[in-house]
Amino acid sequence: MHDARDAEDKRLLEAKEHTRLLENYVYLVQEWVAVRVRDRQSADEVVQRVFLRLASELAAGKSYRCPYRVVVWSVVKYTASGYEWTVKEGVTLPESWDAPGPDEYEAWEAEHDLGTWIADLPDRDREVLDLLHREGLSPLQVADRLGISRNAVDQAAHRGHLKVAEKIRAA
Amino acid sequence: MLHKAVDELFTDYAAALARGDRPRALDYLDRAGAEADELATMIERFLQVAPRPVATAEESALLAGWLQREPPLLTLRVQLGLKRASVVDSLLGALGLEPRSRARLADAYHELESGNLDPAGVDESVWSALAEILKANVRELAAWRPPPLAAAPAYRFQSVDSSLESPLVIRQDERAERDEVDRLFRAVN
Repeated sequence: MHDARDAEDKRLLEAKEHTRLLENYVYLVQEWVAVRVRDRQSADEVVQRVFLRLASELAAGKSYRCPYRVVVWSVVKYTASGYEWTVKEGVTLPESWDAPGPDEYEAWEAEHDLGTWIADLPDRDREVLDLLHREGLSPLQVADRLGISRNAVDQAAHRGHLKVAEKIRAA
Repeated sequence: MLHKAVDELFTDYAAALARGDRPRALDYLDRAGAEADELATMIERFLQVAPRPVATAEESALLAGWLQREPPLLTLRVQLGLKRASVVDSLLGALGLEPRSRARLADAYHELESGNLDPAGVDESVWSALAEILKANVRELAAWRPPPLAAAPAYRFQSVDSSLESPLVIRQDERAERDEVDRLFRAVN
């Protein structure tokens, strides 16, 4: 499910287009931090710390053995851990740290793949979620691609998202 | 709140994301009330599995602001190749202000752009006008504050009391324009 974005991240890393790479994570990091920290002002501070950390590692030439999104998630988790609900002292990401290695990452990936979560949905619902989230098509584009109405796309997406909600709750 | 209601909030969030919008989790958590923790977990897990969206111009400007310690509103304007004066001129027209308010408007915009003005006090009409001029939703960019620095001494110059330099008498028309710019940027009525 993540292959295309992971490949793009890898290309940007290799081309040292670090700003392009990081800007694609702005929304995701803002949201990850927001749900953990809850307080808007503290969340802003954490988000900035995350990007300063990521940028400094990239500038220092650090390399990673897993997809970059896993690196970003790890840095968010560490950085936000000092801020969840109330500020705590002494919780920092060590200067020298390793993102998950290939073995560890495989286990992580198995639990973090939307493709797995939607695999057993009815065909239409799965196709719609796949095109919306993986290919990034708009609902109208999905309707065109599948030859169905916009309303049918919305209904399929709603059913699919409800199913995903169930799976998250059960996980 | 029942599971069903939390699920509906979750599907609204996921659907907005699928449409290419930028739903804000905190808005949904507010609506979830006592079930906010459950919804937070669901959104967090979903964002771990869903592929990341591609950056918008606002997000690029925000990142530049964080990394360069520059206000992203300024970065966005520079990226667009606009001079501050031209933004102020466009704002003056869009907000229907008199030409004599231009200097005060320029000051207020400068404060907003440099992160020295509380965006909470800025009128909706200003955000709409800026969205047209800068082709972006700038409200979030204006909320930027300088990134936190590692512990270091900080000094703040005490501003000189300028009351003696202020005009003692403000003409009626100047007062009216001052009130209008203040109302638009500083929520002063």
